[in-house]
Amino acid sequence: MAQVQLINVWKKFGDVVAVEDANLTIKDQEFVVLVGPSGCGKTTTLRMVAGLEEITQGTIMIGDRKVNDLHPKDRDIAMVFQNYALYPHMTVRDNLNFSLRLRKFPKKEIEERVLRAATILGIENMLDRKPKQLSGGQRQRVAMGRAIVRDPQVFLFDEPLSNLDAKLRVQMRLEIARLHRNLGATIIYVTHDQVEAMTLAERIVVMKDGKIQQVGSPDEVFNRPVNTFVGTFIGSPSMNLLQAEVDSGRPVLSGAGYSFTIDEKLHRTLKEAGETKVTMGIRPQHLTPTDDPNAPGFDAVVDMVEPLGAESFLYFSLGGSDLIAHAQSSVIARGTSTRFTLDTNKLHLFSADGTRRLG
Amino acid sequence: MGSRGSTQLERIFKHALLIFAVIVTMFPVIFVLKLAFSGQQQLNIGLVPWPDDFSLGNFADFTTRKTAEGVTLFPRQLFNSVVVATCTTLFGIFLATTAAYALSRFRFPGRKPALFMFLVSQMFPGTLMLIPIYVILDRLHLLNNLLGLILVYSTTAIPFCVWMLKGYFDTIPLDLEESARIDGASPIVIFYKIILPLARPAIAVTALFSFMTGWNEFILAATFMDKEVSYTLPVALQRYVGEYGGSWGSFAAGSIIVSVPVVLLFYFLQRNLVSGLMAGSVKG
Repeated sequence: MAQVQLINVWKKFGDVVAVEDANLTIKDQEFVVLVGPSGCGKTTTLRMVAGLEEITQGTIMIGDRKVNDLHPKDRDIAMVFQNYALYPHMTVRDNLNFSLRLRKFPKKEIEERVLRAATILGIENMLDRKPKQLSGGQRQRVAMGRAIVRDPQVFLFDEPLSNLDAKLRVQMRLEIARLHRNLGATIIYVTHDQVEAMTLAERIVVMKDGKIQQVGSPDEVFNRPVNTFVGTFIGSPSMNLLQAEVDSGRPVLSGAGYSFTIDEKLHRTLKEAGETKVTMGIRPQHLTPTDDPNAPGFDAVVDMVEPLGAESFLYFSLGGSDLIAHAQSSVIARGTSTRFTLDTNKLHLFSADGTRRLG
Repeated sequence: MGSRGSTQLERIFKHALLIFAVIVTMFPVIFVLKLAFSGQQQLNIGLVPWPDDFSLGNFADFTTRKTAEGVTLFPRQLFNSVVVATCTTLFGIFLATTAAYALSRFRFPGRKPALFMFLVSQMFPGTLMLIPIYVILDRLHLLNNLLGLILVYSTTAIPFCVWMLKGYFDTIPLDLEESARIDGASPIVIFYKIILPLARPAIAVTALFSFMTGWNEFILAATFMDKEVSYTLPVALQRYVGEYGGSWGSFAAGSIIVSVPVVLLFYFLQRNLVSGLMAGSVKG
């Protein structure tokens, strides 16, 4: 296994910048997930590491080798594609051993490696089948098996679960996590699904418009997002955003229909930084309905209720912003005027334009 | 009951129409068969689809005809046709698959003009090319030479074959090739081990088209070959009919003999004309 480094990496398609000055170090045996919306450059980044896309500028290192100009086959990487990319005219066995045959491995070793990978993935009784005789989940396993037999320095996963149904996705997610633990492999995994990112990653790289927005552990990106994009992208449902003004005297943030008292130290920091307006981020989990009319918060009429059995999400508007609150039960009905309270210790404060975290 | 189906009368009408269409289509073939097995040489168009007398005499006449020097023509002409058609097919497929793959997958200067020129070349009638090709073959000393015919047939069949194969290659997912690249395959290995096996149906059609081009072509062969022993079978056939009459029976027998290899080839190639080769490869 090996460390992967991206140093000032750019990728341009004509005038379009797909990846802008990416700097990233993926440690040996680390599981890193690149996450972001469609077109954010995550797949392009992965393809540059794979060697399927030439880099416009910068350096990519795998281990201690600069791989900028190396052919994909010489980079010692294996990649699992979004749509499996199995060779349809070959059996599962031949799909698995194709790369080993090309590399002229001894026959005995090929058989051993294929059997080991098939056993790890539970597909040992399907080796003589063709891909069309397999289900979606089995095909995805074969695609992973093809990577495992290689025993490469780095595994690259390009949205491997996005074609599977919800139940199978959860199951395969666990299998990939187990695989990482058992193989101790360096893995770069691309997804647009923040749940996959949160559950699998040791570190998450959040990307937007070709730029890396934040690199951190799932806990860091969830609890200390560096801007409103990361705040709203990570977490489901999305983080609530409210525009607020910083009171010049009291430690209070106020907006249309609400005002909250905040920590004095934070207030001082905001004032010293000269911030008069801020964007406030509140996760739905920290915004809850209350029966206490004196609790700090505001009143609002519930527009919609999304019951999830034991809990529910309440949708409402406040001062022109659409907000979501989390309720432990689903007793509140649509159209009810409700008091909402929030945990001010869990507030995320960003600059008014949402590009910087203030506290 | 059967409200969604057609009525009895509609069904009878449809079947009658189809049977009539089959008779119209099959009649010339049946007529040729009748003539071939009749043992006679005159055109005797009757409605009865079988000959009055059954004889293999016309087949014997066609296959045993000799030159003035006593050389039996049929084996020589059959050999010419087989060599020309087979080489045209092999050479044509080799050129068309490689060219089509390059045009499908690689981006290079001149790619679009090349595709356009292939298309344009198909818009002119074949006979228009006759004189320039004649001159070229003459300069190359390839008149009366099977190699000349092979070159002409292969190259004239290429534009159609390239367009057809390129269309098929375009449908093969790029991910498969990228996956093979990462697996360690060179472009040549990818082409032979991944692309060609998946393009079997298109290659089968291309092979059939190329073979038929070489096997059935008459005008160029008749123009470029002026010795009877150099003729291909279609040119030889033409010798049986003339302006003021001809050996129609032998001509019919020869036509059947000439058709058999194409029918056999189609029979063997049709098993490759299957759909769903890409099934299971990528998520559809």
